[in-house]
Amino acid sequence: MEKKIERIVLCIKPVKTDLLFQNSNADGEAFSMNPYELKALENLIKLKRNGEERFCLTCICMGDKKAKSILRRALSMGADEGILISDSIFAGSDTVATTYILQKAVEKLGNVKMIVCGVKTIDGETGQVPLGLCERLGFPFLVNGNEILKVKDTSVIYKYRNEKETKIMESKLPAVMKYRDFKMDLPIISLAAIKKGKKKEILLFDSKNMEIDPKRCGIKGSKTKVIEIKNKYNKKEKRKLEGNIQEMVEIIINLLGEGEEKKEGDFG
Amino acid sequence: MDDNRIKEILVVCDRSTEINRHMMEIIYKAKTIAMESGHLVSVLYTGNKNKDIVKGFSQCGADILISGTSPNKIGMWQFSDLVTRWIKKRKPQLVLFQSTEFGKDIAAIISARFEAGLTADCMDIFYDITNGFRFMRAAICDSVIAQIHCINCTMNIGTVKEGVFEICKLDRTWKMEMIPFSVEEDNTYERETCLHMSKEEQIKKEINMKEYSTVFCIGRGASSPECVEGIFALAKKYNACVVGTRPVIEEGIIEKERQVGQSGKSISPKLYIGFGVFGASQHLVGIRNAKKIIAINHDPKAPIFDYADYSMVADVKDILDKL
Ligand SMILES: Cc1cc2nc3c(=O)[nH]c(=O)nc-3n(C[C@H](O)[C@H](O)[C@H](O)COP(=O)(O)OP(=O)(O)OC[C@H]3O[C@@H](n4cnc5c(N)ncnc54)[C@H](O)[C@@H]3O)c2cc1C
Repeated sequence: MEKKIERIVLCIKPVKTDLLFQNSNADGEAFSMNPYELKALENLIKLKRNGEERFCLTCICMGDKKAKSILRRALSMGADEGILISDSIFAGSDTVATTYILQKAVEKLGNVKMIVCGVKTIDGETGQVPLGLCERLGFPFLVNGNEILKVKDTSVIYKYRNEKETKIMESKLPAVMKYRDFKMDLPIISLAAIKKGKKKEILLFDSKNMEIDPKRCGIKGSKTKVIEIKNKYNKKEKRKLEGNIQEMVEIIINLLGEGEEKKEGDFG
Repeated sequence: MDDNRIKEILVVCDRSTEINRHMMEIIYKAKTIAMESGHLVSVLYTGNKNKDIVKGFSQCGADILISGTSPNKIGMWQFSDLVTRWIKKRKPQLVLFQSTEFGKDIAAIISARFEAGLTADCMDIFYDITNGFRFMRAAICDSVIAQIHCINCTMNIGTVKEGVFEICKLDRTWKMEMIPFSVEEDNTYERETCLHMSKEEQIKKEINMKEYSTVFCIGRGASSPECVEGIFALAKKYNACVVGTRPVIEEGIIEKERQVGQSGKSISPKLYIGFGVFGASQHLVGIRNAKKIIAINHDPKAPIFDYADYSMVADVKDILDKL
């Protein structure tokens, strides 16, 4: 009998579009895909297109119902399944609660050989989710990848790059991968692909069908609480200069003079 | 007995072989908190140990040094188990990690394991009796500072980036308690294998930005060859370090090591001058600890002006010509 096709789950974090495109025109949607996950998605879709790789690419996205458009886009691009994890009691979840909810989602899906998460999100959450998820699911391997090269039955081959070297690595599965590469510009999707994407169903996972313990999610289940938000940088002296270049230059030279110190250095 | 034990702050050092600046910054910060809160500072360290290293830990404020030299690079899961063991033994109220890739990974694992609140990349930490620990961190892409409080848990975890806190050597006379342990070799979990490895062509010179008190940042608005040349010449004259924003690095104008911001380095110079820098939050996050910021941009609405001490609405070129 043929083996059931296993899933690769990509966890997509919706981020506010205006955080992503501060210096250019946003494309109208309130939420966008975190750039790391966008790159990972393209990578995985390419592997599927290229042939032999047999896996079901499942995108899961936890957030507001508005985030559905992100999954729709992922499906148009070529993902097989889209799951929206959304429930009013999930709101305000910190990483402890989020990893619990994602764990339940992955367990509900079942048959998962690899989970891919972006190494961080641009709205500042600094990559605690993949680790927490790995710990909770008891996946034995946690890997860092810049590119997935091949998904085999029981292992994954991927590229890891840092400042000093590039390595081609192989890790056994099941594993959680922190995906380290990102991409900022959205791919253009053909109308035909959009149509095809629209035919695929987006499933909703909520607290009931995931059998979530309400005490462990949302603000109740979180271990951290934001008690105050302040606008930052209350600077001491603030001077705005316009027009008078000479004055500006003098200020710069003065400040540079103050900063001049013993330290010798060479570079450049 | 257990309840009135002296409370502890545990600082977990990365698996480096030596004590480093980053560790010392965190330990000293822990000590400053501890002096107000009455905690003890314990340090978990797996590197080499000699007289100087031990003295280093003591001087920046460690009350207890829990150390064991690991035979070789200890893996992530094994390290997590080690931290777990010592947390169970010492029951610290606060555990601080270095915000390195490794430290953050371990912190996240420990947070899930103990269901403990974790604040990543803390910019400041306070303690008072009524509220316990409070953490400050940048949120919503660094546009605001959030004050975070751990709830429903007895242990708080934080990670701290290098350069966020200062080191100060204590002139101390009290004794540091030493608790040794041993680390066994264990390879059960690390089953990644390397199939092929290639070194990056040029091994680049390590640029130590921390050593410069003045930093010049090249933004896309100053990326023309004349500007870049001008900025480098000026940097040589004033012994400043040249850094850049992401687009400038991507265009290959300066090396990757010099990128400052969310996907680059964080710096805390006395003086930062941004030449043609827009002020995207992903960049600002890397310079928030600069003491003084001068921004030169011809667009009066550039967001960097909101954070600058000196906002200069001008063309970079006009300024450089006169400097
Ligand atoms: C996941 C992610 C990670 C990122 N990480 C980083 C990071 O680590 N570091 C980083 O820097 N960015 C990072 N970015 C990119 C960031 O969002 C911005 O795109 C980038 O910082 C903008 O760089 P810039 O200010 O040089 O260029 P621009 O946004 O193009 O701004 C150039 C500025 O120069 C001004 N200007 C132009 N010509 C002149 C002139 N002649 N005289 C004076 N002023 C002039 C313009 O008015 C403009 O304000 C990241 C983005 C993402 C999505």
